Parts: sequence; structure tokens; C-alpha cells
Amino acid sequence: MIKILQTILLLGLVFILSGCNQTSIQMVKLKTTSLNERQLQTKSYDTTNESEILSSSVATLQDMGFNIDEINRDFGVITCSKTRDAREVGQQVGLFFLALFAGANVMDSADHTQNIRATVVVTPKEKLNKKTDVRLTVMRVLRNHKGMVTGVENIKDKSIYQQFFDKLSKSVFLEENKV
Amino acid sequence: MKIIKQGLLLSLFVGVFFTGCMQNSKQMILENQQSLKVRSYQIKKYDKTKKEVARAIVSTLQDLSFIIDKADMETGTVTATKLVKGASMRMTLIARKQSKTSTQVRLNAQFSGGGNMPEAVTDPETYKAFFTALDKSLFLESQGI
Repeated sequence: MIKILQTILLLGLVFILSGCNQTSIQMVKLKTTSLNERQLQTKSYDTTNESEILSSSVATLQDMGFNIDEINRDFGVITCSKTRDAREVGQQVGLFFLALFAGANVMDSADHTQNIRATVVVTPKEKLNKKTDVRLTVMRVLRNHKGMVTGVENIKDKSIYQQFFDKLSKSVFLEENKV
Repeated sequence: MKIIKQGLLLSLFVGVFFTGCMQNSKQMILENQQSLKVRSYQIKKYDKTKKEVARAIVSTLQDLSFIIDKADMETGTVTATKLVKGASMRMTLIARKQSKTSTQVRLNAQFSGGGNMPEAVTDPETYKAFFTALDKSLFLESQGI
């Protein structure tokens, strides 16, 4: 009886451990949700002026405090990044109480700074519908106060993308009117 | 006396044994890979223009949640990084014009996961999986999605 229990426990452990481990093939496999994400991250603009959309995108990213790391006009690619405060009141309070009971070391798991990186790709769809597509993808790396990575996240919140595109729409309008 | 001699011999043996095992870290610059074999799974040809393929590469990378580090249309080069909890991957893709309507794509990747050292991806299946994703993206693009 004990032997069976032990086997089950061992099997369970192996299962859990193998589930955690990412393999290289998993990194390049499309998920079923990726088409949905593509739609969420993309917005079409009624213009064929790719250059103007690209400039507006750069301006919008600057409005949001990003620094441009890489830009290529032929590709329509912009990559930008920024480092910001990642401390959240909820997490801090929770960890404070945990520290009271479990010792001081738990503060190491508190997020302190975050490095946000984003890619914007502008694609002309001239042949198809005389529109220009803009697609934004964002990720962030969270670090604790010692600079160790505490988390990595690909942003999937609809509202973040919507807000970016709202800003971009305004920027396109401003650019058109040379403000 | 005999014990000391034996001990000395043993430690000498252990020393030789370990230095023999240890790889010179400079060896990692050249990395002993068979170039023909590596190329066979890193390269795929497409009957599309370079621009079409290059654009599809970028959207595939975005589909897979990669962030573009570098992109240059003239040489057709894209380098991108993906980070997830406990693993990271970095890859470079080059789209080269073969003729007006055909393009060759070469991709090489480095991966580190589960606390292991980063190393070159030598598993052909991984490359195959990426090319499958790229095929899909090219198809979607041709359908105007």
C-alpha cells in the first residue's frame, strides 16, 4: 500500500516538474489564442501614408515616455523601452504582513522596478484595402530591489492596447494638422 | 610512506582527469557544429518576394510574443528576443533574395530554460515548428488577414 502511494507521489512530482520546464520548441509554437491576440494588438488606419503613421507612432511612444531602441523605416519596425517603478500598494502591504510572521526575507520577492519593452510594426495594406495596419506588442520584466528578476509578462490586457491606439489616433490627427 | 605515495598518485590522477574533461571556454567562440547539417534544418525557401517574407517574419515573431531587437530591410535581418518565466530565447533571421519571386530564410536561435546555460538550439524540430508558424503567417497575409 505504501509502495503504491510512493509511486503515485513520485509520478506526481515528475509530472509537476516536467510541466514547469519550458523547452525550445514550446517557445516557437503558435497558441490557439494567437490569432485573437493579433486582432487585439492591431488597428487599421484609413491612410496609405506609412511614413506618417510611423512618425505618429514614434511621437505617441515618446508621449508615453519610451526611449527608441531600434527603428527601421523599410520594415516599419519600432522597438522602444523604459524602466519604471513597479511597486504596488497591495503587494507591499501583503508582503509586510507576511514578513511580520515569516521573517524579513520575503521583501526580496516584492517587485521594485520594471523594464517595459514594446514593438510597433506598421504594415501598409495598399493592395488590399488602402489602409495601414499598426500592431503593438508589449512585455515587461519585473525586478526586486536587488535587481533580480521576479517575473516576466507578455501584456494581454485589452484596455492597455485600446488606450495606446486612442493616443495614436490623436497623434495621427495632430500630425495631419501639423501641431 | 606508501599511503602518502598512493595519495599523491591519486590526487595527480584526479587532477589530470578533471583538466581532461574541462572544455576550454574559448572553444565556445567557434562551437564545433557541422555546418552542412546545421544549414539543412535552419534554411527554408519560399516562393514569395523578400519583402513579403520579411514582413511575415516580423508578424510571426509578434504572434509568438517576441520583441524585435534589430531589423534591417536592406540585408533582410531581424533579431528578436522572447522572455517567459524561467526561459529565454533569442533568434536571428535572414531573408535573402534568390530571384524575383523566391526567398531563402535562415534562422538560428539560442535558448536557455530551467536554469540551464544558454546554448545554441540544435533540435531540428524547433526550427520546423518556427517555419510552420511562418507558413501560417504567410498564408494569412496572402488572405489579407
